[in-house]
Amino acid sequence: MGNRRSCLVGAACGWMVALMSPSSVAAQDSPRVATVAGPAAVTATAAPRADQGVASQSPRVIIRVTAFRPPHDGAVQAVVKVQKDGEEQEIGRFGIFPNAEFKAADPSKAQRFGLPLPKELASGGAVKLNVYLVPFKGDGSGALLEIGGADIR
Amino acid sequence: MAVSRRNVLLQGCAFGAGVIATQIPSVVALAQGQPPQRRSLGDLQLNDPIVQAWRDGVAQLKQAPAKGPISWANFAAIHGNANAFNLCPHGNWYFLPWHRAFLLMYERTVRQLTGHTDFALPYWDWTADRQLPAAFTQPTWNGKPNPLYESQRSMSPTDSLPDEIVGQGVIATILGETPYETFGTSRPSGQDSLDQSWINCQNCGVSGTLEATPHNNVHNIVGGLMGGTQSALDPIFMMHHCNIDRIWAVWNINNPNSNDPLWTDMTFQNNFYNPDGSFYSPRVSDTYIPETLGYTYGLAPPPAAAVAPTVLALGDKIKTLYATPNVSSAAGIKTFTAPNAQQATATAAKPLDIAVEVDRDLLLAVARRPPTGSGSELLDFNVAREQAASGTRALAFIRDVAVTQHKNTLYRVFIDCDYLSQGTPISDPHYIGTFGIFGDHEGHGGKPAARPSIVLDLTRAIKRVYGTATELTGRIRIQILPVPNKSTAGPPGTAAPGRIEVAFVSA
Repeated sequence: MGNRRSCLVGAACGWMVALMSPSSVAAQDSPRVATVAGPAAVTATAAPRADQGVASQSPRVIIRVTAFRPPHDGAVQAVVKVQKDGEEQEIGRFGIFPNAEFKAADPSKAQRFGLPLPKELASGGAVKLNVYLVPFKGDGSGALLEIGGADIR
Repeated sequence: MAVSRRNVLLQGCAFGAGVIATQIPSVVALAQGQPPQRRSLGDLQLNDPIVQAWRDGVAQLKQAPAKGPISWANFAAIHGNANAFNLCPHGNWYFLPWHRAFLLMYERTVRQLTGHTDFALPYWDWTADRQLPAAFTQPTWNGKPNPLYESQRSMSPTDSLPDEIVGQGVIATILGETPYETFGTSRPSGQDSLDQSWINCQNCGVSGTLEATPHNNVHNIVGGLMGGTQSALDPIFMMHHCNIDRIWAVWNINNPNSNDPLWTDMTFQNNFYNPDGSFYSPRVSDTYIPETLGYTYGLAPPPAAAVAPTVLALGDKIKTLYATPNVSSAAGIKTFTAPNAQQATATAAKPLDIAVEVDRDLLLAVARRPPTGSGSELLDFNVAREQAASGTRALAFIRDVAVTQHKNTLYRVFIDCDYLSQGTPISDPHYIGTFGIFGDHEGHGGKPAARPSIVLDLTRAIKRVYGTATELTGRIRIQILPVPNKSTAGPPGTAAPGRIEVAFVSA
């Protein structure tokens, strides 16, 4: 394991194991961690009425990001797609700024991103989301994004 | 009295002069009735006095002793240091007003340091100009180190920002978001007081598209210092945030800010400096209207009347162009034609290149027309139409196009691109637009098929390509490049226009 690539892969795997440990993410059928190799999957459900916040004209998905690690080189963006009837439809993109590693100490410290949800996609109540990590430049290796959950408001 | 942009603009700027500190140089300009206008970098030449003042101001700030409050390093440290953000809010509803005041500190300081009392920060309109502005990418300027250059950026001068981050669709989404907390990021969860700790409660609210998409991603794509907590050390930071600030001003034309006292009454206590080194501590409600702060984006107040005469006149002239294809000259219209006598053909390997000789003064009028910032078409309808109708526009009519294999082909049109190839992206500044041909155009039954004609608006591309040119020749090269339509497997076809006309139209 003397070369740099092996070390990086090892480090990334170690970090991923830490992210996926039962203490950080409750047992899930679907991955809550996105890498450039695969999306995180999360189901957004209607937020409790008391947590609806300021009324918006159309429904929005609020995604909670509980951890992020940037790629070894360059930057990545998160691409959020709604899964419906076997197809995916993009509803928005966001970036994490600064482009630096963070991990929320508790769920209330998650970074939250609001994206407009087309009404035709919101009609069924809960929506299934896939959150992809897409590099701007390079291959995005090393990048990780942990999704703590998602609400519809 | 309720204060609105419309009131301020209509009543003149004496109001503005009255509310900002008298030692601020911008008062000089305000007293003359018009605050300095923040302009697009895409409209400024490298030696424009505004660019030069920013260059000089940044250089002086970088040279200032770090122990005093007025220095490049100390200003940047207000935003963040190597380890963390400092006072700046991100991911909460103070994001926009705090950064407006932060930018104002730089603008006022540069006016003071350079003596350029009309200086206003230029903005990087990344929707219209996808590449890093040239003033920031050259390591030297006039044989000396360029203070606007930053070597650590990962975005190269030829990289272009993608549509999905800064394109018109994203801007449309942003300007359509309402109310304020959806547009400009929401309040910190649980905020119940005006305690200062709520200001820089990082990511305690829900980020709207403006902050999450173009703001965050442009920071990260530019990279280097811009991607981190020390981003304010890179001089492009202020131009990026100036565009964010401009979009807020555009949004405000049709949308009110939050009226929640937890937002309006928050004071950014001792967060910023006046040019004399004293603290500048505005309340959020002090930051609503750019004109009261000593600058403007030149956004006209919504007109009360119906469609303006300028709009009607432009519409009539464009109708004339459509109704009379060969009109070469009429009131407010001048057309120049380049025939394609040899029936030269555009192919995937070799773009077609046709030069149209035009009147140099008309070309200059288009290239130097006042900028219309991206998103303005989404303003109040009358404002947008009035702005779009002002100045000279240029249209290209590509007439009687003979095509082959058009079902496999997208026909991309560029102007004056010396490096045009299949790899040239549509985000390139020389790009005008793409046309396709629908239906059967290869003729049958012994009859030649009717050949289609296409019109494309050249105005923005001319501004991008020729707007900062020091010399204009009075020639526009229109280039057509067939590229494969990715939805089909076949090779791209060809295109051979009968002629190309360039029409200049002014209302």
